[in-house]
Amino acid sequence: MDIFGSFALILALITAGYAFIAGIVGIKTRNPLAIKSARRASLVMLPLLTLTAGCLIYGFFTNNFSMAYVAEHSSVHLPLLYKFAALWSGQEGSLLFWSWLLSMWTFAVLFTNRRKHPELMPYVGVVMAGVEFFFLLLNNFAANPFSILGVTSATGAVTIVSQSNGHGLNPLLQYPEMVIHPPMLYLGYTGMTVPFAFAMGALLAHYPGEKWIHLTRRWMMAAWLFLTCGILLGMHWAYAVLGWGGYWAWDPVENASLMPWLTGTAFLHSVMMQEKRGMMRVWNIWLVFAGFLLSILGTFLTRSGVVSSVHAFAQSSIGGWFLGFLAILITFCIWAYWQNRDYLKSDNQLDSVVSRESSFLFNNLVLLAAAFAVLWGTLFPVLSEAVQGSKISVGPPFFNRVNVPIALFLLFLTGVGPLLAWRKTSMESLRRNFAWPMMGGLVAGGVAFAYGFREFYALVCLILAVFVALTVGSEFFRGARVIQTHSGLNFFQSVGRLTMRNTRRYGGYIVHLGIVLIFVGIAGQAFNVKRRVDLAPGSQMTIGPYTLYCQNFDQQNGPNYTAEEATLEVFQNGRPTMMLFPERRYFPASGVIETMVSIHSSLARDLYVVYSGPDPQNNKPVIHAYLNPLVKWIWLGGIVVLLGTLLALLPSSSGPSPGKPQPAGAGSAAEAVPDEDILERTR
Amino acid sequence: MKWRAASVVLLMLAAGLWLAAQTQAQNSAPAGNMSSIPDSGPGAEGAAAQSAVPESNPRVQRISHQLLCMCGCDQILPECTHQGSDRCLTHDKMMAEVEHRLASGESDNLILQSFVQEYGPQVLVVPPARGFNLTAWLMPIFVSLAGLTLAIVVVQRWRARGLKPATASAAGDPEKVSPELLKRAREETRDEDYS
Repeated sequence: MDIFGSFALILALITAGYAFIAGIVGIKTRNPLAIKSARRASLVMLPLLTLTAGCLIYGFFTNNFSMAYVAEHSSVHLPLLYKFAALWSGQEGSLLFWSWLLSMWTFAVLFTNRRKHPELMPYVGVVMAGVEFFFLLLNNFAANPFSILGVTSATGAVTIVSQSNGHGLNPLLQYPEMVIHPPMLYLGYTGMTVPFAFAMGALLAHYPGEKWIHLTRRWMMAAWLFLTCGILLGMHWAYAVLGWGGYWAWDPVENASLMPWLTGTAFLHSVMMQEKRGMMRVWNIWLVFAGFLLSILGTFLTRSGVVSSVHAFAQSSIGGWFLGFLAILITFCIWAYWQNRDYLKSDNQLDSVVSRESSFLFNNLVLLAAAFAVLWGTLFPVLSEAVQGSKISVGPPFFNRVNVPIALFLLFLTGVGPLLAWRKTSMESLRRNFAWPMMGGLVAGGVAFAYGFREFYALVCLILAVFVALTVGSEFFRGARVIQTHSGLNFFQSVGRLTMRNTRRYGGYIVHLGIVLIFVGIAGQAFNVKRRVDLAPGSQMTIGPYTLYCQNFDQQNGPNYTAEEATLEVFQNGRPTMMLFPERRYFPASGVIETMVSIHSSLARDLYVVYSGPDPQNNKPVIHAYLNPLVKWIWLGGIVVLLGTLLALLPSSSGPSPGKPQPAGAGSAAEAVPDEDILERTR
Repeated sequence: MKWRAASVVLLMLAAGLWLAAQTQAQNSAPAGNMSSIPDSGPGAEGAAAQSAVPESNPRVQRISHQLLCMCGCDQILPECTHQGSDRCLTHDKMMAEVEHRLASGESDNLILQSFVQEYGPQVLVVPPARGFNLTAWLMPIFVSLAGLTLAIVVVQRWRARGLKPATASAAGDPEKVSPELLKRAREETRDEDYS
């Protein structure tokens, strides 16, 4: 199967190259046959790469340890689920996975648009084939997953050898979320290629109107959804596996996923400016370019090891390839923009500074400032080494100090945006809409202060979170009340109808609510408590309202590991509450020891317990216990964000007319309600 | 409307109180109420690991939070991602050194400098704000301010255009659009959902 896989991989490369060149020839010569042929070649890449990936997966399932990649990342005793996940556990496999996912996106885009947009789609196909070609080049010449283990004899003859058991999968990756997290993240990264292809295609084809931006938005939202899901799963994995009590370490690879997420978020807001007002065309094109370039940069950071990272399990020396590809892409983007800049001219007009247009502009500015701060902090060690000759560190405090104020301002704008109308908002309307939410936020802050909250940022975050939640709630409330009055439905039915009438708007609001929950969860970090205690059987420790009583330590045998498990009985305010079983696992195949954290999670706080083995000085078992307030809000917020995004992707049951100019003063809740008198009532 | 607004504020107030109470309870709970611990005997309180100093001494906290663990995890010393799994010996050694130097009466700055001499400047968790490293701190502020200035200028320009009398604009004058282009635009936009 390894030879079969190798041939399929070479064939995929040739097909991608053909699709790229035939597409360019077809566009240049306006030859419909060449264009059709290129499109079909692009479609064929999916079955070819599915076959390629299937061969590698087959190698894992059949323990084919003559294949270097399989021997390095699997073992006889590795559970089946992780044998599948081993596909993306190393350099070669994850690049193949990239190519495979990109071929899925390519297929989806070209197939769903096969009878649409005949002037745009050839360009889209060429761009996607070009990106695919680069990754297949890497797969074939720099990181081939089908390399065979061999020994060269004195006569020059090569003998294929096979390892008996395999090195095994990195224990850090042997966790259920690791089966989902990388595919989600990679779907997000690869998905960024689709908006890039549409934007580049529209630019090169001088595609008329705002049609391309409508097409792009949904694909961007899908990619953003996967990226969000991947980031959240990664956070949860870091929290549940790494055993240091946190979920975000500003690791370069985490940062790499955050940057395209930030630019993608900016685009999903500014796209409305172009759709509704024909504004910010240049800005939107560059946001799409930036999102794609940052996703390639993210892959480069993950793969090259140019900056050190906890994700170092996937490093190698293919940085040069990525750097070259990035240079080509940046040059091409600048060239394409400069050559076609006249096409992007728009008649930007602003009727009032106090308008939704302004809020989107500042929202974009803040998101881009955050993306730059993350990029700068991530790359500064490399820059410093180049300039000063010595490497310095840019750790979490830097990112927190720089990004926390930016994030809080962004949270504020999240609340302000929905209160502002397109074109112009009257001061009276502003006062009316702001008063209660702001008062609510201040009251919540006052209560928290009275109860002894003194952490400045946490306090500001709480005030803003309540403010945003109330503004979003009031949008639903006002709109539903109007529908209730006119239709006779009950309030909850009215909320449902309101939401389904404009899924994009109300899905967006639900996303904002999810973001609020995540912010509240992150603010809880200011009140974390940690203890580290030598806890022999029969002894106890206290942390906050909890007492942990150590019953004993047991040995357990897993499928491919042996574990030492602590049995801890937990008492809350003196009452027995639960049992916790933190583990420490030893994986003989790789000789690595890892922890399995035990967490008791509630809305108020997490009790997070790590057993980190015997203290070398006194041989007593060491327990790390953490009290992490409000962490569950982050995961709940993440679910709300994902549900809101899914809702926004659904078509509305009815909605405003396409491209219809927005009347001055038309506000958000009003847009979902057709009657003019209802507009008056809700504003 | 007033009663509704009042009920919203009350709800929010209740949520705020609950949140405050929960977190406050966590922070102020007594250090141990053993009344219901099994009869098999309230176990003795486990010893704080390594010594009495590390996790309670605010100076240890302050200094160790300015250092990175040099085991390769690139995390703040007390938050080394390896200490939970494989007993990070580097973490233990560095923490012990902080304690030792504190016990011998060295100042915070001197302790940090000694770590820089031993491990190089990358042991510091953030770049010191001097020389070239100052740009690490200034650049995000500079770029944000530049972006803000640009946004203000852009808003002013757009506003100036918006104040002009409504003349025929590219998007607003249908007479300037050829019938062919109009037909094509309709065809292109026919199947799309714009909600």
